[in-house]
Amino acid sequence: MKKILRYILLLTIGAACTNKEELELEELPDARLSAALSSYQQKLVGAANGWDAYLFPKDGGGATFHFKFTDNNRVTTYADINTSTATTPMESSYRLKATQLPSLYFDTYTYLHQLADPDPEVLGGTQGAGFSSDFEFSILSASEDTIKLKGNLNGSNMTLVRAKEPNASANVAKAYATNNALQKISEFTYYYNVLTLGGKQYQFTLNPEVQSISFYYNENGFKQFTTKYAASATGLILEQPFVDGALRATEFHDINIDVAAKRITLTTSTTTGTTANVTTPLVIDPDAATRMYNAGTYYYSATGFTMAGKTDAHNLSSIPGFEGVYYYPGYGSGYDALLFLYETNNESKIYGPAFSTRLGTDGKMTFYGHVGNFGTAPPELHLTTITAVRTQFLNTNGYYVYQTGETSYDLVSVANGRNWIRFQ
Amino acid sequence: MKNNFIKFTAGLFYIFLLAACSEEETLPDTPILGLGGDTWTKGEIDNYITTNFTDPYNIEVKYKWDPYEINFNKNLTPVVENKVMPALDAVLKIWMNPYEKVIGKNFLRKFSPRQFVLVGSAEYNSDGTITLGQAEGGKKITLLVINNFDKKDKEEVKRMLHTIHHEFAHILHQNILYQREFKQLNPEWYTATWYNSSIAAANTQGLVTDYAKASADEDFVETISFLLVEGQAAFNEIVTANPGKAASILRQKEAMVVAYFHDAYNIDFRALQAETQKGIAEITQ
Repeated sequence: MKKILRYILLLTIGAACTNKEELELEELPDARLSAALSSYQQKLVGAANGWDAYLFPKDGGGATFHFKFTDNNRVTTYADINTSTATTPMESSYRLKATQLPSLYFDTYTYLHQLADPDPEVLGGTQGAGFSSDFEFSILSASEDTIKLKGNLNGSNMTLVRAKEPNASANVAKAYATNNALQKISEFTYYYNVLTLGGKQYQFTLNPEVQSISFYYNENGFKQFTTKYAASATGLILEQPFVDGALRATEFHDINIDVAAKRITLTTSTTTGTTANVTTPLVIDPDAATRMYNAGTYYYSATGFTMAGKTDAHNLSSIPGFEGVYYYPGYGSGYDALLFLYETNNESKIYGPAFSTRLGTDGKMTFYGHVGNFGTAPPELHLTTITAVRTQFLNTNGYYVYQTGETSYDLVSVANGRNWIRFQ
Repeated sequence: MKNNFIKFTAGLFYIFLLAACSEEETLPDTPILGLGGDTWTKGEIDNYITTNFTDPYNIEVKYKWDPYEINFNKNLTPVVENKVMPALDAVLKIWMNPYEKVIGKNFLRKFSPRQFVLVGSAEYNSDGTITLGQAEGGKKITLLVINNFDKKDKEEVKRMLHTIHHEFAHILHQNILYQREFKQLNPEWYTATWYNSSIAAANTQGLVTDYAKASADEDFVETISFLLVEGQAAFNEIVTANPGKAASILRQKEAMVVAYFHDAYNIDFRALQAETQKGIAEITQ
């Protein structure tokens, strides 16, 4: 038996020897990597009109760029961050590098890096992280027209789409205009917009502050779909497609916001939808209030209440040095707070009421039991403004709550659908 | 016995067979991708670096983003290109030229770090502090916040050069240790939570900056850096403002620094100080 085994072993070794495999040179990892990198390089440089790019930073909304790559490691960038970045090109450098996946590095500073800048003075976001964006991307896939990228540090998604028009850099300015146009939705009288799309009705929210799009509807109970968007030359690109039955929306175009008629029309693929501005909700989220309250964070609004289409209805910006209002659940032991932050003599001050929050089983969030104000009061003149906001906030009928992003919520007055406040 | 012999020879046979197999392989001649570092089309900045740093001093300056050179789990940004040459100019004029004038080119060639890594932003730490620069074993100096560099802004220039002189002083004392007595001047104030102290409070305790409280090493290099970059007048002001024990400790530190430079490296510290000040004046004019 042992002998047989030994022969078998001998035979297999012999077989292994004779059955020698010659690896083709092209199949060696280094050769393939080299080929992949040069093919990506050719793709990037080969787009005569450049690339439109849609970036979704991990902790931010969506951003739109236009890149034009040259074969000497230079890239020209436009971005929809502000008017200047949308119209003035900035040149920086890039390179392709073989890391775990072939990667595209934007290796000197350009507009793209502003979103990732850990200094909040640059563009905002969190100290030490900015919007947790990326400028060093793994190439996940590359077809002739589309390159999909994922950030190596924070995992932000970015899609490059080959531009077709000769002066495609103007696409960014158009995207910037689209972003601005979306702000007008808050001028509609009521908070609620009901979108009829593909024969179904959805309560529909576009939140330009966190750049999210939300669909709320009933289907064996409350259903919600929220994703981030980036503006394009013609409309919006969604980070995740909205899928409901036969409907699959990856983008919206031909977006028209008619403030006088309080109506949004938009088209996805070939399906056109229209909204109606209504007084009462189509659906109520039974859990959003609880989620918001228990998230263990606080919420910020730059403008306070919007009432009947008027942003900052209480004119909070008239408070000298006003920086925003915060709803802070569990600010002190046993109470919640609405804090007005303002700056005076280069020092930040807070002032505001302390109260309790009730979370109803019907999805309503009600603030009650005002026990007084704390902090440093602004001059007498502005106390009336703060009192007015407090009175509105502590309305006994409470609020319906709709989530519009990871940590952003809209509160809509139950008593009056005209009045709402957007927290993030 | 015989059986064992057969086993042994059979064993050897297998080994030869295997060895024979492996000898058949030929090594692939495809070059390993990226071996020898990244390459790109050279531009104005690259040429400037070659002429002013690499050729004369054998110093590499990495200004393009390389995640493997820095703290890879932090959110940092690369440099804005138009900040690179002004910032490096300041490095040349305020750090390298003074040493070169006082002790000569060979000193820099011997002790200067082999690599500068430039980062655009600061590094934000979880304890609320930010890192402006780092030195690694005398080989590499990482300079952060390059994007805020403005040569017209004297404070900003001083801040950056303070970092370089600080890190270079680390290299010097890692080669030849400073006086043992230095560590005994105020050991009671050295703490890992130095950032809970203000600069003014540190001054009253006989330390030039809050960061000097981190350890005796940091204290030593902060004292050097302060004397060189902020200048003697600023140092004297601190001494005058904090009479008594603090003043005496500060004066002792100053004397030790001057003695250390003379004894360890035969450098005239006062001349170095004057040259550094001249460099700052020249850059920020």
